[in-house]
Order: sequence, then structure tokens, then C-alpha cells
Amino acid sequence: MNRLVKAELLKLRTTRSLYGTVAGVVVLVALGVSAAIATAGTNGHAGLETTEGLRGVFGGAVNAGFLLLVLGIITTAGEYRQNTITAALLITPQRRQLIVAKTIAMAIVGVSIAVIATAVTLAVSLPWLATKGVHPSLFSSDVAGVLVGSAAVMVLFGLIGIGLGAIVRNQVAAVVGSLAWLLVVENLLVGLFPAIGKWLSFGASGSLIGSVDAGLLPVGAAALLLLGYGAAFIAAGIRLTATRDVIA
Amino acid sequence: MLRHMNNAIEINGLTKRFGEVLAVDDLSFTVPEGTVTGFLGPNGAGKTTTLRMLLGLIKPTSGTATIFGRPFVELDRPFEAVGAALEASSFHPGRRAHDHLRVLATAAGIPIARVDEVLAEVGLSEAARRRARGFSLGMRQRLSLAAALLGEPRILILDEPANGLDPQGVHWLRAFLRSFADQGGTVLVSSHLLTEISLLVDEVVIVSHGRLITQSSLAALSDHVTPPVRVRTPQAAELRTALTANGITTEPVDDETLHVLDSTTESIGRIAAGSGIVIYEIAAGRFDLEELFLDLTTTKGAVR
Repeated sequence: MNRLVKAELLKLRTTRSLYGTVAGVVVLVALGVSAAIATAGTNGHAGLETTEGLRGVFGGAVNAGFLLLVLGIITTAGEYRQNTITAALLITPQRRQLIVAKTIAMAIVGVSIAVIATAVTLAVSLPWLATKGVHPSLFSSDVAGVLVGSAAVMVLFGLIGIGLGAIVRNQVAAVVGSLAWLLVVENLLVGLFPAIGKWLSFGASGSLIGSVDAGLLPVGAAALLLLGYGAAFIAAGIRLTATRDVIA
Repeated sequence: MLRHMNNAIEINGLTKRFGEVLAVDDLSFTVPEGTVTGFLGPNGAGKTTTLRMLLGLIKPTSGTATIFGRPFVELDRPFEAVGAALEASSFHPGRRAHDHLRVLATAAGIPIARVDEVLAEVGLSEAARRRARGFSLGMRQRLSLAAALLGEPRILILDEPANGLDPQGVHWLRAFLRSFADQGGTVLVSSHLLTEISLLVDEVVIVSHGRLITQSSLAALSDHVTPPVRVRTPQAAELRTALTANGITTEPVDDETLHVLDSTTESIGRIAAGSGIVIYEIAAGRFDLEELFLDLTTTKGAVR
């Protein structure tokens, strides 16, 4: 299994998708954090002296989660798109092991990218906040808690992507479908049935970054919910991968 | 077939149905260890599906396919038993050739030094650091073959490996596979062109519409047919009558040319002389592998 995880990490390191994802995360996080600081206290946005305002700044990285979702999808569905799945299965005919190795590799990559995102968040926010005379306590739940929560969202989105890619196999359909879900469908559903919002990805992510909204699940439950989605998608992906024919 | 030989590959009653389509229909054949076997059939005959079932990529509807007596997915370190190159485009276009092989070697636990060896073996050392996107079809074929060789396998399974190769490439492939077999390796190579691999193979397995047409040695295959004799005569009608009277079948080609089936130039000459028929030209047909192949795969099961 160790060999397979190494091979999966090597696959990620030897194409440009990983570097594109990292670059995208750095840019999105820097922009998100900057926007949160720049708009704080204006047009009804909470000011930086408030808990809500600070959470908005330190939770800015969460918006880059969809990039990890896409990277996860590419990790599994990309094997079908490029037809590298055949070469992989000729070395490792045990398909379950292949998907498990991808899951572990994606968790490692997800944590690494989350660490980078956290570093970018701090590098952009702390000096800027200092010029405004705001000196947040790093180990408070408003800062550390939100940073950890936002990192967890990124990692879990990556794992959900692994499962989705293994289920759908068509990379373009999986990426377009999941973005449509995040950007359109989920908003529509929440608009129609507000009560289910806390069970969907935005609600759960929001809880993890400490959004001030009474209708959300507690942090632990939200983390378990996202983990549950990831585990369910991966389990379904493994099951389907094991039984489906691999035709050119 | 020699009885003392072990079978490297055994296909037994293999059947695959995709919905309404019966892609492979109760197919059985063997590949003796140490031989080069050509797996022949027109496009769509079920060759690729059969090879994919053999390699555990497609589940058979029924029947079995084994390698050294075991299904592929149950082999420990399967890449040491079988190296397979199934298609010429199974690379990430953005990944360098060397990296593609390094990924596979890592997954297999094969020392990375082996990557340079196989790249040299297939003549791709120069292109090792290039991304696969820019590779010609011939280079892709070579990279597929390099991947198949990583585990120093005892069996090579190649699906249409000559597609996209230029004549030098085909020549090189032939020499490569010959030397692999001479060192005791077993090769199963599919093709839709018999002539392309006729210089290479010991045995042929011919399939059409998912069914076995014949398995035999190449030599035995050519014994099955006598090519027609071509005769040019101003008295074609008279000659036909005379030959038919002797129980010989003819096919008119044009006003003065006949194809005479299942006969020899000697007996035709004698019959013509006996009937006082003028012959301008008489020539024994040449054995045409491709025609035989076409004949076998279209009429389905003429020979057994």
C-alpha cells in the first residue's frame, strides 16, 4: 500500500494539475482574505473589531475548497480520461487498493495545500491588520479554530472529489456537475427548503469556519457530516470501480 | 502442437455479452509457452475484449482465462508474469515518458534504474524527458511496450502493436519480439492484418464475430488451400466444358481468362491438349495469406 500511495503522489507531482491547483489556491485565498479585510466595516459587513469580521478574514481560505474538489475528481476520473487506468490496473489489479491509495495520497496533498493556504492567509492578513491596529490572538477560536476549520473543509472536499471521480468516471461531467451543484443547485435547494441548508456543503463548511448562524450544525457534527459524505462517495466509488469493466 | 509444452495462456469457453452484443462467443484457445502466437481477426472480431478479459480488466459473462493456470488478478506481482501493451494512447499527455514509467515502477516496487533500461530497449532514451503529448503514434507504441517490459515479464501481450509504425518500426518490432521469444519468452500479439505478423508468428488463432475460426501453425494453415490456376485461352468456353467434364471447377474472369480451382497446371495442360484447346498463358496462383485470411474470416469456419 505504501508503494501505491507513493506512486499516486508521484502521479500528482508529474503533471501540471497539482501546481495549477496550488497556484489557484494561493491566488484565491490571497484575494478572499484581502477582500474580507478591505470591505470589513463597510456596506453592512462586520467590522474587524467584531468576532464575525475576524472570522470572515481567517475563514477566507474556505472558498478555495472547490479547487481541491476538482483535484480529487482529476485524481480518479482523470485516469479514465487519459486512459492511464489500464496501465495502473495491469500493475495493481486489486482495484480497491488503487482507490484507497488515491484517497490517502489526496489526504496528504489536501493537508499540504491547506497548510499553504493557512500560511497565505496569515501572511496577507496579519501585517495588514496590524496597520489597522487590529492584533488578534492567534490561538483564539476566532483565529486558530477558523483556520483549522477552513483547512478541514479543503481536505474533506478533496476526498469527496476522489469519490465523485471514481463514481462518475467522466472527468468533465464530474467537474461541471459538482460545480453546478455548488454554485446553483445547492443555493436553489436552500432557497426552497431553508431547513435542509445545514445538511448541505455550504452549511457544513460555514459551521466549520464559525459562521454566525444559529441554524447551522455544531462544528463537530458538521465535520463528521462532510467526512461522512467523503466516506460514502469513496465507498460507492470503490464498489463501482471493483465491478465495472475497464474498456479502452 | 507439441504435447510436452506448458500453456502460458489458456482461454476456455470465454464469453462476453455487452447488452445485446455478443462480443466474444464461447472462445477457447491456448498459447504454449515459448511460442509467438498471432491473434488475428478483422476489426470488431472481439480481440481486444478477449485480451482485456485475460488481463482482468473486463469480467467475462462466462468462461475462464488463465495465465500460468491462474486468473491474472490472482497473480502475485502480475507484471512479472505478463507485460501488456493494449493501446498506444494510455498516457497522460502532460507527463514525461520517464515519469510515466517511474510511476508504474514505483507502484510495482521495481527499481527506478529499470526505467532507463526499458527506455533504451525500445529506443526512446532520447525522448525520455519529453511530454507524451508530442509523441508520434510510433513513439507511443514504443512507450507502451517499454511499460510492458518493466517487470521483465515471461509473457508479452500486445494489441495491434504495429499500428502506426513505419516500415523500419515494424521491422524493429519483429526483431524485438523474435529475440524475446528466442530467450524463452511467450508472445500473444493481435492484428487485423495477417501479412503484418506472418513473418513473426509460429501459431495463429483466428477469430471472427467473437468466435474461434481456427488455431493452427502458420504452416498448417497454408496447407488448407490450393490457390487457383489462371489460364488465358481464346477458347474459354470449350476449356470450361472440358474441365467440368473432368470434375474440375472453374470461374470465368473475363472473355478469355479462367480461374481453375483445386487443380494443377499439369492436369489442366493435359486436358487442354486432349481437347485440342489453344492455351496462351497458364500460371499457378500464388498462395496469398491475406486472401486466405479474408476468406476464413468472412466465410467463417471453412477450415478446422
